[in-house]
Order: sequence, then structure tokens, then C-alpha cells
Amino acid sequence: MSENLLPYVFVLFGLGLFCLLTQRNLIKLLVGLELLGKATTLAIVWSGVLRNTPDYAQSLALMVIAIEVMVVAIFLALINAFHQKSQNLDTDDLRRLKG
Amino acid sequence: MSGELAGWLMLLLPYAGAALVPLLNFLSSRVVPYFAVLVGLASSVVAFFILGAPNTAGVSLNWLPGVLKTGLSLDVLSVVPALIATWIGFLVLIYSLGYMKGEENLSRYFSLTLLFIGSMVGMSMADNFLALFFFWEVMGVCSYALIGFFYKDPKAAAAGVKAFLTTKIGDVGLITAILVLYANTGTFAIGQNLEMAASLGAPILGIVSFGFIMGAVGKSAQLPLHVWLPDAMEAPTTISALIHAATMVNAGVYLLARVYPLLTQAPWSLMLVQWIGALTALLGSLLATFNFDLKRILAYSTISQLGYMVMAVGLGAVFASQFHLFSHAIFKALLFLGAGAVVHAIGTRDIRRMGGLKKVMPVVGVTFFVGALALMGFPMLNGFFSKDLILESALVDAAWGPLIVAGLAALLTAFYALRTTAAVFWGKARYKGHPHRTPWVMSSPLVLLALATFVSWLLIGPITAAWNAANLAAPELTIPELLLETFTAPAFFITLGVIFGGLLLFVYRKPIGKTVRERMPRLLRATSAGLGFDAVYGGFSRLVYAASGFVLGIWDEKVMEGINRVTGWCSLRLSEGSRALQTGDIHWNLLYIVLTLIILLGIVLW
Repeated sequence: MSENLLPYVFVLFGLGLFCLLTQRNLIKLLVGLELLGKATTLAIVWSGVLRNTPDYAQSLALMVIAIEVMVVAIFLALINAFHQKSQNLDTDDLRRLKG
Repeated sequence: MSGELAGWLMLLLPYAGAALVPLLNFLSSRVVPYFAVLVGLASSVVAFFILGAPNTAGVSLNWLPGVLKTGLSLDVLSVVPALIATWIGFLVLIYSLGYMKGEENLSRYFSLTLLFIGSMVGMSMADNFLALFFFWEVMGVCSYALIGFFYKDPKAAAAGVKAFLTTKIGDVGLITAILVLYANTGTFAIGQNLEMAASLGAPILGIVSFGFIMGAVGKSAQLPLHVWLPDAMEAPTTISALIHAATMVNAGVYLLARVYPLLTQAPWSLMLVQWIGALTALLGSLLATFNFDLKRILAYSTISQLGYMVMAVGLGAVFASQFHLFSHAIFKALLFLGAGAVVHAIGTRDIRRMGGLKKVMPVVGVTFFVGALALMGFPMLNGFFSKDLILESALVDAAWGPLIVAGLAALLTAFYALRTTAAVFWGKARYKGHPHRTPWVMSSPLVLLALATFVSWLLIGPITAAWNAANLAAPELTIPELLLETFTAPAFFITLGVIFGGLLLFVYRKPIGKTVRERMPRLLRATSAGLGFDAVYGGFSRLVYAASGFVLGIWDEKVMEGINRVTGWCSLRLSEGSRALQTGDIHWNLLYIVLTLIILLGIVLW
């Protein structure tokens, strides 16, 4: 593979970070978080190519994907619960998490 | 049928019966008692085949090649206890049909009884110390379960536990002896071990023989571990008869007789055995004299008679001890089954509330009296000949100390045997209500045993011949020789004098009793409390409990609690420190996630 994927990784990471910093909607925050996660996954796969251990890196990436699925499911469930309770998705209303 | 096959069957039939009884109980609980009696009958019939060849060499099987080879050793020493267990066990099973009628959980009762009998047979026939120990322990478990058979009565349950724990003290000694022997000779086989005994060093011999004595003392209820036997009277009377006559307590005496060649290598151990036996005989008869509970009197008398047997082993008269074991099994089973019939009929065990029962139950009265006479050692009954042999061997050995103690014990024995019979069957009626009639299933074993009391000593000829054939030292006696020897030996006059003394005591029992009550109230109180053995052991175990509780308290409160406090304090500090991270704003949480991802990215792309 002759192309360098590293710029794409940074582009994806930047997009996700931008999304997280600017948005207040919970769903959009989740999308931003997922973009970050995908950037990391891509980075893992690319590192496998760079170090010539593609099978190791790819199995790691698969693991990350599987874990992300669970994270998304839980996150969505929490968002759903929050929405049912307060009828909106604004993070400014979400200030009572302090333990 | 060959002797070997008969031996295997005698062992396996009761075991198979014990396993089948619970299964049969699913089909019909009514047939269970009859099935158990049938198993008992089968093994007693089989037992006759072994009688023809009491010295078959036996057979050993390789259970674990190179490690454990065990089987049956059939010589007359091992066959006689097995025959006693089988035959007395059979009579007890018949008697149980009447005695246990209408009780609950009869399948448990009969299954355990068969297991008990089978284990005694296995114990005596084992040619290997490991197998012997196995059967020995199975017997311990059976005794625990059967003594506590009426487990809803807390006294019975406690008695079962007490019997189990007290005998366990002896068992520790036994297993130590067996393992020390194995470590030094490399085999568990009894015969080889006894042959190699002479080559062991004195310290090892000391440990081993002390261990064997400990085991026998626990199982045969000798001083100082006799305390479990009187309490075991909470068992159904049939089980008391079985324990006293056929199975449990004979095991210890048998073990001593079996390892006698080893004990002779350490002469002090024979001395110890003599004195344990003699003192136990005296203690048992003394406590029996001052007791009012019919079954406890018999229990103490068993302790005392076992003392004679143990003393005989210590005197080197192994044959006399085994002969007395044989006689004792018969007359003690008779006495116990008679006592059971009385208890069954009037529902109390206190002899002060009996009396005059010979009119109501003549068969029981007559047979009980025969048993009591045999216990006293009245001439021409089996107890006379065997006890006489023991006293004579003490006389021949010039063991004056044990002889005097045992003579005193015999005097008291003659007295309490008469007193008990008189209190229960003679005189005025002091019981309330109408006694039940004795059913024939209960009276027929009594009659059989009473007859055996008269004739069992006639077997002396074949028994001594078999002993000599098996190279066990025994006097070769035929019946005329026995008669001649017993009636002319000085021991005969001891026996006679002792019986006469007992009679005198009995005749003057009222003035003597009055004097004892007035002059020696302390003696009365001490004997009714069993001379304080129970109090001492109870106090000791309470002390151990308290001490271990104290140590455990320190460990728990200081050490474990301290660890708890330190870890609790650490986690509290940690969580209070990390509390600041929880702002409650979701953006901060997202920032942590992003930071983590950046770190991950850094690691990956490094």
C-alpha cells in the first residue's frame, strides 16, 4: 500500500473533536464521539501496516469495533431515557450528574 | 461351600442387605424388617460352613497392584468374633421385629444394623491394617447413627455425638500406630507386620503399641474413655445389645488380641493393658452397684467385663480373653434383650419403679436370672469358666495387684447382678399400669440365648484345638480336663468366695445400704455422677473452647478487623480524592474520553 492514511486519521479526529466542542445536542455528541473512535480504529489498522503486523492490528481493530457497538448501545439507551424524562436533548439540562 | 467363600459371603451379605434395604423401602416399607431378618438368617447359615474349617488360610486380592493387597484372614482368632457378630446380630434382628414395631424410619434402622454387623465381620476378618481401620471407622459411624436413632430426643442425639467423638480420640491413636508401622515396615499386612515387630526399635514399638492400646481403649470403653458407653443407652435397646454383645466393644479386645505378638515386644505396654483392664473392671462394677437405671447398670457391667478381657490380654492369656468375649457376648445379649423386654413392657428404666415382674413375664424373668448368674460367674455357666480362666492366669502370673482389683470387681459384680434381678423381677410390684405381654419374636431369642449360656462352654475342646492348629498359644483343653482344672485350681476358690461374698452383701444389703447412706454420702454422690469423668471432660472441652474462643477473638478483632479498617480507610481517601473529577457536566466527561483516545492514538502511532 503506497498511500499514507495518516492525514485521513487526523482529519477524522479533527472532525470528531470539532463536533464534540461545538454541539450541544446529545445525538450529535454521540456522532462526534463515534468519529473519534473511527479515527482511532483507522490508526490501529494503519499502525499494523507500518509495523508489518497487519493480522494483529486488524484483530485489535475488530475488538475495538465490538466494544464501540456496546458503548453506542448504552449511550443511546441513556439518551433515550433522558429524552423520555425531560423531552429534550440539550446538554445544558444535564447538570445533575454530580456524585 | 469352602471356608473362603463362606467368609466372603458373611462379609458381603450384610453389606448387600444394607444397600438393598433402602431400595426395597421404595417398594414396600412393610417387608423391610422381614427382608433384613432374612439377610441375617442367610449369613448365619453361611457362618456354619466356616465353623467346619476355622483355620482356612484366607485369600488376598490385589486391589491396587503394588500398593494395597487385602483380603480375608481366616484363623480361629478372627473367625470367632465374626461368628458372634453374625449370630447375635441375627437374634437381635429377630427381636427387633417385635421391639421396633410401629417405629418410624425402620429402613434406616435395619440398613444401619446390617451395615454394623457386616463391618464387625469385616473388621475381624481383615488381613490388612488399612482394611481393618476402614471397617473400624464404618462401625464408628454406624454406632453414631444408631445410638442417635431417636434423633428427635436431644439426649439421644448428644449421646450419638459423644460416642463418635470419644471413640475418635482412640482412633487417632490407632491410625497413628498403623501409619508408623507402615513407614517402618512398608506394608499394611497384619501378619507380616507382626512378624517384623521384633526388628523394630524400642521407641517405634512404644509409639505403635501405645497407639493400638489407645484405639482399643476408645472402642472397648476402657478407662479413661469409657464415658460414651453409659450414655449410649439412649439407643434402642436392641442396638445396645448389638453394641455390647456383638459388634462395637468387642472390636477393641479383638484388636489387642490380634496385635498381642507386637505388644509382647514392649513389656511395659502389657503392664499398662493389665492395669487399665483391672481398674476398668473395678470402676465398672462399682458404678453399676450404685446405679438405678437398668440399662446403665448393664452398660457399666459391660465396661467391667471388658476390663476383664483387656486385663487377660495384658496377662498374656489371649485365649482366656477371647473365651470370655465369647461367653460375655451370649450372656450380655441375653441380659440386654431381657432388659429391653422389661423397658418395652412398663416404659421406664428406673429399677426403683419395677419389681415383681416375674409373675407378669416369667420367661423374661427366668432367662434374665440365668444371664445374671452367668455374669456373676456362677459354676457351670459359661461366664464361670471364662472368668475363672482369667483369674487363674492372673494367679499363675503372680500379678497380685490386678488379681486383687479384679477379685474386688468380681465381688461387686456378684452383688449387683443379684440386686438388679431382685429389684426388677422379685419382691413387690412397684410399677404402675399394666405391662405389655412379651411377643414371641422377643422371647424366643431370650430362650435361645439362655440355653447357649448353659452349653457354650462345651465348645472349649474344638476352640482350643483350633487355636493350637493356628499356632496361637492356648492351653489345649478338653471338657473333662477343663472341669478338672477349673474345680481344682486355686482360682476356683476365689470365684466361689467372691460369689459367696456377693451373696452375703446381697443378704445384708439393707443394713449396708443404710450405713453407706449415712456414713458415706459423698461416695453415693460421686458414684451417681459417674465419679466425675464427665464433669472433668466437659470442663476440659469447655476450657479448650474458651481458650480457642479467646485466641480467635483476638485474631478476629485485632488482626482481621485491623486489615478491614486500613483497606476501608484507603478506599475512602481515594474516592474522596477522585470525587473532584465528577463535575456533573457531560462535556467534562467527553473531554476525558477524548484525552484517553488521544493517548491511545499516541501509543498506536508511536
